[in-house]
Amino acid sequence: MLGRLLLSALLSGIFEIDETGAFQLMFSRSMISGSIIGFTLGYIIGETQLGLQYGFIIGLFFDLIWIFRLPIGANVPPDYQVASSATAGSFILGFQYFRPEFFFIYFFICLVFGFLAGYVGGWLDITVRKNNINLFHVAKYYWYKGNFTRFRIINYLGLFGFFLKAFLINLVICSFIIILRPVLNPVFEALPGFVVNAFEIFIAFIPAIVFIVVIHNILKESSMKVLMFGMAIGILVFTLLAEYKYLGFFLIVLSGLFLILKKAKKVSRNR
Amino acid sequence: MITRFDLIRTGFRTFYMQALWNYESLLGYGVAFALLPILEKLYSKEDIVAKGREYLSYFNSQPYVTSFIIGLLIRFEEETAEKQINNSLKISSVKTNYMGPLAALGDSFFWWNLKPAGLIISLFFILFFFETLNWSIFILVLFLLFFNFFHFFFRFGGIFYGYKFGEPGLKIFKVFDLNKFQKVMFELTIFISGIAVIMLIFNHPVSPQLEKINVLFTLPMMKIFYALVFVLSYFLYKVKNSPLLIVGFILILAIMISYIAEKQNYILRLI
Repeated sequence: MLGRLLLSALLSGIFEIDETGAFQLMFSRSMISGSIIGFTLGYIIGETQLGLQYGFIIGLFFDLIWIFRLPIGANVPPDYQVASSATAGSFILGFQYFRPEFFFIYFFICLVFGFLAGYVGGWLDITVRKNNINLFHVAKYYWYKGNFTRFRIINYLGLFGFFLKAFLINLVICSFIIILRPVLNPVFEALPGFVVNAFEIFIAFIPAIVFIVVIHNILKESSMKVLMFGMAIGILVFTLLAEYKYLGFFLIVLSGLFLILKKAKKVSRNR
Repeated sequence: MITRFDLIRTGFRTFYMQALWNYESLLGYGVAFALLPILEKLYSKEDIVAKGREYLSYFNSQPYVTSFIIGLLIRFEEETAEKQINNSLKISSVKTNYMGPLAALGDSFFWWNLKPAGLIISLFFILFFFETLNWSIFILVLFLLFFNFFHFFFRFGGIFYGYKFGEPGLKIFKVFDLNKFQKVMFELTIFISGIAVIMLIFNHPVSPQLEKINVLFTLPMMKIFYALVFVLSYFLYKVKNSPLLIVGFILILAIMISYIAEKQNYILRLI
């Protein structure tokens, strides 16, 4: 188990470097990092498909819930990458320990700890950035001394700070939940049936939560018509054309193209 | 003196722009790190040390579009080295004049438009083809390609463009009309969100286990609940802008639904 925990933490650390320190190729988007961690750990425990599926769902949840908490200037949002990798890691490594009916309640607990990891990650990010001031002064010192080799090495020390932050949070959170499993099992057993079922209903509503956040943040009064148009097309496709999936898909693509062209024309005309 | 290889090399070094992100100089170290090989090629060790004041100072912009400024700086440095003139004032003014506008442009384009649009479109595709979830890997790859196409275009194109055309080259943003592109992407995101909401309500998977428990969880009832939860949560989020509050609200709602269902089941059995 220790090896698997370390692997999860290592992957999280690597993705964290992509998030802030270097590259920013979007592998750190929790949708991607959650899927990769889910897939890798799922492959190790022999549940590749499930690992990928849940890693993706977890990642998407954190990606969209904090989508407009932007890292602009000195603003540090909650660390969605750390949140998703801690949730995916602890869930994939621990779910086999529980009976299938407790699957969702365990998923919820992992999600709660993921939130915690995200906020701790954001807070530690500020600490890393404060600590970087010292490293910056060291780098400056080497620059003025003309020692550019050492100046370059400081760059990698900076990256290591971001890596270490995610590595430690992931390791602590995942280990804690894994250690907690024997305690959780009797607690789950003692819960009334309706509470256990409630978590399955809750998980089913997760996509609704993320869409509410997205729509609320992007919707303006002027774009209400577009949302309504989308909903009307959706009703048409998922009721009348429900039997003809690909025809419905074609209709959506066509409507999307129509909207794009209309908007582009309108913007050009306004200028 | 500056070759294409030097520009590509600098492009790769801009990947480390935020490696030593700190509250004193923000991306200041990153700019110096990216330009170091160019400076080493153009100047003696003593001259580079003297340039520390210009390059290790405060700098803040969006990391992807910073490349345009880096390209401009390379051009100025080459001029300085060739003509033996003092360009330090020009270099400082380029940094301060362009970092703000380019940051605003990059932030709104990448973080406010491209990222949400990419995520929502990916989510739509995945939900639409939910039964064949193997598609999700393909869609994740597509998301990475979609985002990184623009990322690499700005990252490397910016350096070449800034270097080749200097300050007038920044007119490229007018030619490409990013504002128009942003507005179109924004409209598309809202349209897809509208369809996705309807898709979640009509195509919502209900667990067979839950369906057996009670009539409350049959498909038509679940759809009504889903629509209701959507509307209620949306207005709750509008009043109090907190995703955690919706999570708590939906959890309490799920427990209540589950409790009513269990009681109803009990009464039905008694009858």
